[in-house]
Amino acid sequence: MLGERVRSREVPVPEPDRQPVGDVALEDALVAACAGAGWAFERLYEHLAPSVVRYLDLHGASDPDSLANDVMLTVFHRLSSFEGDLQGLRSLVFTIAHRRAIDDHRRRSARPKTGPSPNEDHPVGGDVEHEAMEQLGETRIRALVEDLTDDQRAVVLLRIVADLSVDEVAALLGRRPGAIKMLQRRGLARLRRIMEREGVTT
Amino acid sequence: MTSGDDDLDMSTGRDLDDRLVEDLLRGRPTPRALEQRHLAAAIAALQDVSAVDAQPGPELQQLFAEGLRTLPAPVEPEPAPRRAAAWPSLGLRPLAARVAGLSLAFKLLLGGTAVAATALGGAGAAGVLPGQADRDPGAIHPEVEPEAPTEDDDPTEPADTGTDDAPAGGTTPEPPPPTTPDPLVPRGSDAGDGDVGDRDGDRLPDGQTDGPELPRDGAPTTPPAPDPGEPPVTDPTDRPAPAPTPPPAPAPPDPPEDPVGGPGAGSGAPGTPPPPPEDAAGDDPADPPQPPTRGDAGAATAAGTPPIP
Repeated sequence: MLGERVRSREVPVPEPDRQPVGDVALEDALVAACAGAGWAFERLYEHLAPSVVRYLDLHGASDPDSLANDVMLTVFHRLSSFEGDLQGLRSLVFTIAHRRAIDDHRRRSARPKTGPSPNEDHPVGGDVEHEAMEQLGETRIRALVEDLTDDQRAVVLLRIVADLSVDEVAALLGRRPGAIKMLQRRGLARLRRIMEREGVTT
Repeated sequence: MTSGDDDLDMSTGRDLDDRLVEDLLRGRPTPRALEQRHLAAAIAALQDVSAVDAQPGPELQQLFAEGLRTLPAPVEPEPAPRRAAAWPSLGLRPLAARVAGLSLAFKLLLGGTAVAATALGGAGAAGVLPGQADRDPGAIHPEVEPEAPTEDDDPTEPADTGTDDAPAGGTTPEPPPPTTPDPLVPRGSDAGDGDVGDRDGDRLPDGQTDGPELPRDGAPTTPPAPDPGEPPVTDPTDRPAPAPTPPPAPAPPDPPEDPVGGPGAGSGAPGTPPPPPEDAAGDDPADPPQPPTRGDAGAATAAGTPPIP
């Protein structure tokens, strides 16, 4: 496995004065994170956390930031036994994120979140016009995703936001790749139809 | 969101082959970029995470600063309780796994044993067992014990042993000297007076028994009540040692008999010295008491006692 291979390599420890953490290659950061290096966790977090927050937010999580923190913390504590490459790490991250989203959805099933609350998590400040445009885009994107069925939304978000392959999504959702392709095709067709109907091109 | 729209999606999504989808997801130029511009725009909007500002929490910041070894493991959300979760608390999971691995016959046997034990225990607790058994379970032991030997034709009986030894040793079919108490003969005599082995005269010759004192084969299935003044003998080894029997006399030059207790094994068979009419069974070493064999059943029947089926 790649994990065994990369573990045998020497753990790179960047010198903060000379090399910013963000410049360290992700592969090296993964190796160092498996050894427990704090800077490597930060590097991986910067790379993965935005997608995780986005994924959880489009899934309707009540507190995407907090949930994403829990997901990343869980992943980092599991890295000591992780074997795989960056794509495997991404698959692990979004597997945990998907389950947390389901748990969050079940907890909120008594009071489902019917619509976006733009000013709740993203307070407007500074450039009001820019923020308003952002909120409008987010609102539109949310509306796009909410028109999908649960299965279509899961597949589309895992394929587009999480950047997982068809096989990885199939393994994550416990379905066959053919079924994932079908759901993906239907979901994308629905997205396209909505966009064509609204005449929107972002 | 509804299933009714899926048909429409099927009709409009067939042009989205796998290669086109991969090109759109990767942002690669497609031959049909113009007609797929709306879908490409939606995908780009979903992939855009530039507006997302992920802020690490305090625990993550501590992890970034100090590494992994300083933090305890995060508390995983507890899964929904399962039925099997009760097994570990009782420590019965290995037992359950072992029972599950048994065959169906073993499971049925185990279940039957459990039911029987439960029923017996419940009956005892409720006090509905037969009176004596309920009051003193040990009291039923001597009553049941003598029953058991009468039901089997134990090949280790002295008579069989004697006849078995006859061809080899060239002696008359006589039982060997009882170095250990015969568990059968004394019990048959127990039914009478409990004086076992002390007097050979207690042993009756074959075919000459009287009801309650039948040794075994001809004995009634229900033994008589034990002497209340005498403690019941439950273990044959506890009985007083029988009188030493003199060594068997040299056998007359009779032809060897059926070693398995055939027609000649019992009393009255040809080739066997006829037993004295009474007593003297133990006095004459050449004529020891004849423990019943299979052939004795007929003799017992002739004596008026029904044979044990």
